[in-house]
Amino acid sequence: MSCVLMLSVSCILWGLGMNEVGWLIMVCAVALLVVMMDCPFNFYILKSEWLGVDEMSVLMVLLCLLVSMMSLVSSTKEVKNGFVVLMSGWSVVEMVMFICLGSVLFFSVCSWMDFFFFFEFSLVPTFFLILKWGYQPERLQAAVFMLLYTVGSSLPLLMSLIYFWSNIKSDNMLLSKMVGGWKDFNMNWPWLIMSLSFLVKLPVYGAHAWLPKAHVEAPLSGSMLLAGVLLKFGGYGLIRLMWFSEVTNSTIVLFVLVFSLWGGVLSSGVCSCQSDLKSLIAYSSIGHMALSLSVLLSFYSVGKMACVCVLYSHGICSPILFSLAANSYEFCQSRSIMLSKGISRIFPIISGVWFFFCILNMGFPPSLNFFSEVYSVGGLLSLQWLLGLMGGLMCLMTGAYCLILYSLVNHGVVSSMVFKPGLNLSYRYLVSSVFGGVLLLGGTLCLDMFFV
Amino acid sequence: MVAGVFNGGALVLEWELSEKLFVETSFCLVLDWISCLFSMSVLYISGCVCVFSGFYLSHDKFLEKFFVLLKLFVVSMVVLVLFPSYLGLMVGWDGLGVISFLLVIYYLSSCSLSSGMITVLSNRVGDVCFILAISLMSSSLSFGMWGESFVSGFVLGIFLMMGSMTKSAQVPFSAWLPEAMSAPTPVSSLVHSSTLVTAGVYVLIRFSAYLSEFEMYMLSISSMVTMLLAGSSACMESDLKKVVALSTLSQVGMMMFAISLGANVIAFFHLLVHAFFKALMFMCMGGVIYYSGSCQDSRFLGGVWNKLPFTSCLFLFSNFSLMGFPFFSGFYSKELIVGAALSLNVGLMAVVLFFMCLAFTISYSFRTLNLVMQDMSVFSLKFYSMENGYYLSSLLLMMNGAISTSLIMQSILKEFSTVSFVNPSVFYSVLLLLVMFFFNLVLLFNCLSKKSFMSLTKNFLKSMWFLSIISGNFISSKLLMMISSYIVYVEMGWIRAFIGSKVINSISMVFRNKIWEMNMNFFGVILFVFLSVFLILKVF
Repeated sequence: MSCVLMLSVSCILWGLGMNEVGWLIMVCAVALLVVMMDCPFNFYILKSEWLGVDEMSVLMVLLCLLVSMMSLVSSTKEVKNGFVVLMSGWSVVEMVMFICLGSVLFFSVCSWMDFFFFFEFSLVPTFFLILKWGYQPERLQAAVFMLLYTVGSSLPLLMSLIYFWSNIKSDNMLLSKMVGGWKDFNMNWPWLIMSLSFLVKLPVYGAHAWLPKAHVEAPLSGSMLLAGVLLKFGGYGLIRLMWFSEVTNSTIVLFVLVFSLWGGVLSSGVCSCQSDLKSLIAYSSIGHMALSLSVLLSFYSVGKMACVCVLYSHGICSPILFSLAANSYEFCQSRSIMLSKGISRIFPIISGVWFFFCILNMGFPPSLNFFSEVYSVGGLLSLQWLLGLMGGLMCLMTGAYCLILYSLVNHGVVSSMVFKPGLNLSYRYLVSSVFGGVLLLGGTLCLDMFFV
Repeated sequence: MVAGVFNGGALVLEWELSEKLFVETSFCLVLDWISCLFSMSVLYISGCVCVFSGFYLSHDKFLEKFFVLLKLFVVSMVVLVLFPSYLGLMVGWDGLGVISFLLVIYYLSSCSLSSGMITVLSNRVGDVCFILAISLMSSSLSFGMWGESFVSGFVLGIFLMMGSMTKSAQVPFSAWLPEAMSAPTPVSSLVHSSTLVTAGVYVLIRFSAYLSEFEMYMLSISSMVTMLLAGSSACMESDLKKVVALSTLSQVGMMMFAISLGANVIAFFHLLVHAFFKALMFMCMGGVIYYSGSCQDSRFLGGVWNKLPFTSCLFLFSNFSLMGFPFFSGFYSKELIVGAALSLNVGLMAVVLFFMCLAFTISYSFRTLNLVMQDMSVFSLKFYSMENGYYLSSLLLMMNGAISTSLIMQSILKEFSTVSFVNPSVFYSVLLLLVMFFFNLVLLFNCLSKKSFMSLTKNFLKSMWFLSIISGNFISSKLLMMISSYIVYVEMGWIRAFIGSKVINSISMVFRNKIWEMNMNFFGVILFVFLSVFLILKVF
């Protein structure tokens, strides 16, 4: 196992001077996935001294690879058309693949320090993506905000991890838990401080200001990776932290649960009044992540399973919505809802795909999104009836803004900016959408794989 | 197998989806006489509607898209009927709501968009109630009733009832049904007469074991209020399709009333019979609208009796069925419901209101017939042509719906014939009192000349007891204004500007400079070096 890793890293380092190193990175990441594939349910296995797998890790690695593939397919315009903006020999493909590699390694390492390293590592290629390939001058402030929020809130995590490392004398996740090193610590306030970084990364409502800004200013592949993969870092980190540190259900945890759930309802409401398509989809991400966080913090086993399922299904559905929004950007050169509308008459297939993904986003059975939403509300209702009602209210507002999104883009008279002569539409967005749709609908038939 | 189904047997197939979740997540397909009969009638009516839409939308460019949507709708309805487990039900239920949205906004205009939004949002409220019901059941780890404590069983019944009430447009969720008439007429005749609004009734019939006394009581009150609302509003409505929609609303209220009495089989019988004659009524109306050049307002129409004889004949028959005229199709099922209402335990007020609703039905039916058929010489078209083959064949296929459906069904299935015993002296005296009361009411409204009272009554009745204004305009505008002001103050104000800009900027820029100034002068450097040497010496 380690020799596979050594081989991959050395290949990458050797290929760094060459042209097409991005695809090489992807091959190495897929090799990593293949090695990790066999693992039973609910056990955490150390495959080597660097890699530890359980089913959730496999699911997340799979998600990274799928989202990277979809984002590369959807942004082939930026790769092929001579629009390539090279930055000392690297193009968009390399940046995307660095994020992918960083994420794949993040989801598979088993020592806390490597975990933290890869947690911050994937921010660097994202930062460069936004700065170099974004479209507007506000991207500078957006990228800096993203860095400040995430790095600034992860400093307490670093300090606590170093403290625990020096106490337990080992930073291997499994070993420190089995030795029983975490049991002596009263994990209420320390838990909150440690998980602050994860809470900001999976944006909890109060600390979410960086996400809409970053989404609006990022190029398409950056947005897809941000929504599809990077937000899941927070959820994954929280699950691992809860698992290994044996934190119990206390007032602080309940406070975070209620805060995030109500924040989810508020951000779903805010979605209905947005005027920028990408910002609308960004606020919907906040709502979904809030639902997954609150059902995770209910400490039920169905809660953790539903959280992972929400992370996965949101991670496939949201990038495709972003690629459809980029599609409409392509023909109107504007993301405003006033200008990009009425495509139902001229592009009926794209309109059908918009509809399909809007209703998938709101949880249309029998897709994975539906099951994740239902069991999330179920977990919340088992805890307390009022939380379940809040979950139901969030489902209602999710339905409202998804249909508002559909009718804003598709209904009505064709906007005059769309109807230009000689307008051609490439089918790459359709390809990635069909791929994602098959995954989400067909996931019902193998629910056991996603309910980890 | 046919003999087995008739004798009360059923075929059940179950697909188990997940083993890890402690709840049973499975889709089970149930073929018993209820689901077979319902799916047969749904498929027959949708076939006739497809033929009809070949006539009605023959000039439309996106006809294939329309047919695809119709087929998807029929698939969702059949899934709802055949898969009555909770998870399978949600597939059909959500599918129905969402595809009916697409069908309502088929004509791309802003008023159809507003109708579509209110339709789908009312349906979404029902979806949320169902999701909460599924969550409640999953929290007690089973979909059966075995482990139910008192409170959660009661709440489960309330969620179920509210979900069905939104789909079947009972009060207070009735505003969407007349608005949904912005859809093309084939959509109305399939969706809003036989399939979408009856989905809620079907779910309640299947899961009627979950309803307790309190919920049945609430259901009977709400269904009676719906019947009164629909009946009184239809007497004032001038748009023909909305009149037919309101008649659907009152008939669905009657079905819900029957369920609240416990008479599930009778409600199901009325559901099937009503589907047939209402689809026929919508198709005749569609023909009239098409041949009048898409004019739906009855103030411009008239004289159809001479110009479209076949259509008006069938319209007359379906209206007679609706009124429960003896020995037409609607008579059998309506008589059974009236018998159930009289012989089961309901109060006197319920009987009075029920008969008032029947009287309203008769009055608006006659008013509609009068408006459509009598020649007022208002409309300029003197000549209608009825040569379209699709139209005639669809009408011919649906023709027996008005007349002989219930006779056929009653002769095939023994369950549909019941007997009820009524005390004749009580019955006839109450009937006489009611007739005199209604006569007095009609005289009052005719002889009253006070203008403000009449205009207030007209506004009240025309906007469905102000329900359509409250549900649509009022709620949505208040909510959106609240959200916008929330965005301005909290989202953009506190979160973005204050925390985002001020705090983070000041931490990173301002304080950094100040701390740099404080620490990096001469004494600061010496202190720093001294402290670090001291620490290193301490550690080693």
